[in-house]
Amino acid sequence: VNRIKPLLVAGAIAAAVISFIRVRLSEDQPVDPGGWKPVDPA
Amino acid sequence: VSRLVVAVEGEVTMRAAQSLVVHPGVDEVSLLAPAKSVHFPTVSSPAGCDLVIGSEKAAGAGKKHGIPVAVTGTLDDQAGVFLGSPVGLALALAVGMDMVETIALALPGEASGDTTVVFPSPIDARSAIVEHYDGHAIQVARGQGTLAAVMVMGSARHRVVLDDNSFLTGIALAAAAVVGLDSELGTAIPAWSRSVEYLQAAVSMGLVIGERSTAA
Repeated sequence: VNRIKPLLVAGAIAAAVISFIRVRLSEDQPVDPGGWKPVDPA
Repeated sequence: VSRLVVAVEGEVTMRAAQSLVVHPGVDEVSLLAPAKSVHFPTVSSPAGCDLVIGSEKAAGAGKKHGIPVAVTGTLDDQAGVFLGSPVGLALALAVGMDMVETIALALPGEASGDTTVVFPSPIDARSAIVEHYDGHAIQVARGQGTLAAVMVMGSARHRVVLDDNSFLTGIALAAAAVVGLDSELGTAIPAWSRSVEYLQAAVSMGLVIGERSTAA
């Protein structure tokens, strides 16, 4: 158990770091501002 | 009486046939053999029809029988409407817009490119490469999923069409056929050369054009 516990803690920290980086990357992506309205081509 | 023959080459051409068969002014839609469908008659030759619709196969059949065509690709020395596709749709949206800065397509495929184009959600930001069609530079952004979008950004307004790729592409071809039926086709003309008719046909078949002003 003493050998597995540090591995579990390290795994949990790595997962948290990856999750944090993913969120930051998605936040950095530009987003369309919207405001579209349907129009008639004529 | 308008008689159309569709040379089926996959889902897009079949969807174009389905859009055309219910379009006002179209009297008859047949498929060119060996394609078969319970919904359409099949003909072994396009002889006697007004227009052949599709891609390479349609261009070949039209050339062989001296019949005008409406195709997704380009045409060499042949009567018909060419680029009845998302490219043609994008260039039709650009007609009449001031200072066009970006013409972009989002299509299913493998992502590549080092510039970013931001499409409306759920496509969002994508990397794009520049491709040239009939002398026009178009940013093509491929990515996961089945959605497609055509977007034109001018100095005063932006225009967009976003839908399922097969639906959008099938209608882009079918609307080119409508332009072909209404034209005296002695030569090759691009779908966007009659942009209002082309876009009106596309809207009547189910596409929605979105527009916004760039003014704050």
